[in-house]
Amino acid sequence: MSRPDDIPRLLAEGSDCAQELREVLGSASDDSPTAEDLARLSSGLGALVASPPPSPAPPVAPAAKALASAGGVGSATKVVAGIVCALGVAGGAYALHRDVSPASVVASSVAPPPSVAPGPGASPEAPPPSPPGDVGNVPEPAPTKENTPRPSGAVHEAPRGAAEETALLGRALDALKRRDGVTALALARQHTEEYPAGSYGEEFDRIAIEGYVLSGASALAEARARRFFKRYPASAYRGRIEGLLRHGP
Amino acid sequence: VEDLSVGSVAEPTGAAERLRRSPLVFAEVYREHAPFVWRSLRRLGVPVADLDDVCQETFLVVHRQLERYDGSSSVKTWLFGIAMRLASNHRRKLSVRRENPGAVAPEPSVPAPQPEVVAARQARVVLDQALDSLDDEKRAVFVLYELEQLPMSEVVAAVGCPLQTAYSRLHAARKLVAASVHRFRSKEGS
Repeated sequence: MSRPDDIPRLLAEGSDCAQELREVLGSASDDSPTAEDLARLSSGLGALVASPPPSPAPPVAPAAKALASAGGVGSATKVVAGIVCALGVAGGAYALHRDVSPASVVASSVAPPPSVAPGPGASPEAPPPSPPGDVGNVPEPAPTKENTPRPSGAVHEAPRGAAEETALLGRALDALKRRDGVTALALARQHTEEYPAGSYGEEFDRIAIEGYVLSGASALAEARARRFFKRYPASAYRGRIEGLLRHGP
Repeated sequence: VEDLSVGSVAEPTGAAERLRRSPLVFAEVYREHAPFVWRSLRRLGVPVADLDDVCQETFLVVHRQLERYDGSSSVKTWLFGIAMRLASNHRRKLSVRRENPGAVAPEPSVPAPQPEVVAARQARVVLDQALDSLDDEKRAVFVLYELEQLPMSEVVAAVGCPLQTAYSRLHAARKLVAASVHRFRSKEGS
């Protein structure tokens, strides 16, 4: 812990630290999280922190290979492998509980919100966002063959897209950072279509809600939030979403 | 989630080589360092009620940036850099919210605790106030060296300043913390 050239610490035995200061500093020893705190945190992070099972190395996604070969970022391979393993643990369960609601349920209860143009910094890789003026009618993804919950046996397909799914999440978060709600929504929709059993469902649902808020579609945001809270009652995003709905972006 | 790229400070190059041979896995980083990140956020001024959110946000940033970690500093100091920036952002947001009291969530009520628990809590409140009297730079050095008890070489890597500067910050922080604690205890006694 300490090295010979380090000066003595205040809490070290024999230091000339005043007793009152020692007591106060000692109170920091209770700062560690409890098992309950860690369980909550792990639950919030979901599949990302699931323990990878001891199994043969799964196939590595092309993006990870490219990163690994770039030198100095060889960690990408193992990172993706970790996510892949996590997907194996959590993907099946997730696929079974994530539902996709038809557009009509929400859209019919919403007045048209103000139009919002796509942000100037929209990612070039992002799919084309909805045209201006169409934000209020941004449809929820309709049930399709792809986003119908899969049986648990299908999780073995997930590893192929793990790196791409992570990249998609990064793009969506970047869109939110730019306050580009339209692109964020388009990416959330893309995620629902391409990764119905993905490991970032909760994150993308949250992104969709923020996308609606940023786009001025508050009724859609509220409807989506209600479903979100039902789907993820213990979500760590609850406070953030409630704050957004109450106070706006 | 903001871009919280953290500059790394040169350390033994062997670390980068070790990383190349055995790259990081997010779940392992989380498992090994979650308590450290939690403690650090707490000591960097994130209120207990917000620790869940900020700690989770920290690990989402870590997950996004894991590929950028190059092994030039220890994982712990890299994590601390991310936690430090998020904690600082969070405190800024809180200070804005405090100007608008309607937006602040009430503290949850708790049953009356035992006297020794009260004393421990009170000591922790005093420590919070003392740490709050420090600026971000001094606070980071003090937290890592005195509370987390990291070697000064790692503290330097985490905060990204020369060794002498780190010691100067530590000495200044010690004086401020001691004065703050003394002031509080004197007020309490009078």
